[in-house]
Amino acid sequence: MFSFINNSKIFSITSKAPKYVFFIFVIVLCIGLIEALVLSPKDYIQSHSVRIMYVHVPSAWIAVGIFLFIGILSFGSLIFKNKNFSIISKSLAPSGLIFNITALVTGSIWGKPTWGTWWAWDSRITSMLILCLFYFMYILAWRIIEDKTRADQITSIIAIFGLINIPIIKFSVDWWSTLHQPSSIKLMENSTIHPSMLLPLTLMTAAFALFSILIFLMKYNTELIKIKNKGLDRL
Amino acid sequence: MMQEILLMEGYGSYVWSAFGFTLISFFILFRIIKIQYVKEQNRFNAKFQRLSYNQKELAKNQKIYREVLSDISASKI
Amino acid sequence: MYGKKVKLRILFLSLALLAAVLTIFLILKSLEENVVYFKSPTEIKNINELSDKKIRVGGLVKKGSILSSAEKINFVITDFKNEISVSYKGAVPNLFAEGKGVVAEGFLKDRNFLVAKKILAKHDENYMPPEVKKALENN
Repeated sequence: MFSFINNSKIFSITSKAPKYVFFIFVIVLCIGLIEALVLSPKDYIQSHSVRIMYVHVPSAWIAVGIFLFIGILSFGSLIFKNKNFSIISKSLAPSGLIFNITALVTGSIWGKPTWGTWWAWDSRITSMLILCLFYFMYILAWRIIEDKTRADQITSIIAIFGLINIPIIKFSVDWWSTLHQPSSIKLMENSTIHPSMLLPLTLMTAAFALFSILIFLMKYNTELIKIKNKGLDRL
Repeated sequence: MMQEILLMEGYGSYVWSAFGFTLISFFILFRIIKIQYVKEQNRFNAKFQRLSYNQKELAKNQKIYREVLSDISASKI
Repeated sequence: MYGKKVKLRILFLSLALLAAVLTIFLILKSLEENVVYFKSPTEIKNINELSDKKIRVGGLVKKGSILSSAEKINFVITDFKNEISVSYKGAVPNLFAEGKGVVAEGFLKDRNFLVAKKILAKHDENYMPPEVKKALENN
């Protein structure tokens, strides 16, 4: 069914794509940074500390998004025994982990001037920390387990269990009373962020997404070369 | 003007450290992934050089190996 | 369409996931007390017995209730149904203001009085420039 995902065809694209992605990433990041740090207005209550939102929120979105993707691909990899799915999920994990860490750290830096504390054990923050642990487990499992097929299975199972955490992260602010504010961007309703602040947020999200694509492509190429490396032994 | 952007009415240290942390961790991740990539390429190259003439020709006939080889010869970003 | 093995794997995985989701749901349900970060003044009114444990109360700072002296600050947390008075020694966060969200962590003296050890400001999900806020208020 998934035979159209052919390694050699993919590699001819993924090996050339990184430089273009890198180029676009740098441009979008520069515009985004100027917009976020200089041009966008301050908030009526949080003043300039609102600018931390432009790195915190995109990081959190992408960390959650990547894990969601890994979880779904893991289903595919377990059910259809598709090698490519597990290579893709493996290559997605590093950027997801980095975005999760930046979301936690920048959130902490944002919390000090606004809430008055670096850390609070509220359900949004704790569930985000659990996601971070899942990322660590996932990446470590790939490293620890020697046997290839076992590594495929165990990492997929970790990702699928981690998937349960995703709706908890998303809805924690609605289900329980938390220190963390509810979402500003909703699917069905208007956002509660002023358009002049939505622009840098969108730009930074685009830049961060491009960065995760860049890292994904480089990691994916590394994995493909690794496989081919083993293939050379068999010639 | 410059002063204003740096201080941000007292929030400057928080804002700049948040942005700084993000960009530094991006840079570190990029370096690590890049090093892994180059290392794997070099390993492939070294292995390829050790092959006999016939094996090399055999490998070159397979599309994926051609792609990997051309990628290694044309060093990128 | 798919082989028998594939179907069995789908069945196995969905059952495993369902079991895990239910387990997590039950655990969270039974831990609800601890999952919530703070209680509202109404919930404080309705608790059966006061404990000496640290507790967090959250709500809005009642308008006109802030009384600050040299080293002490007193204010009232309200959820528009019930109120609770708070006294606190120390510096409050920048965002602490009348009519804004607040979480006070400390010890209950009785159902109407909390001695806070820590004050956290809670802000909402609205972000806009000061000029827009002013324009909104004028309308």
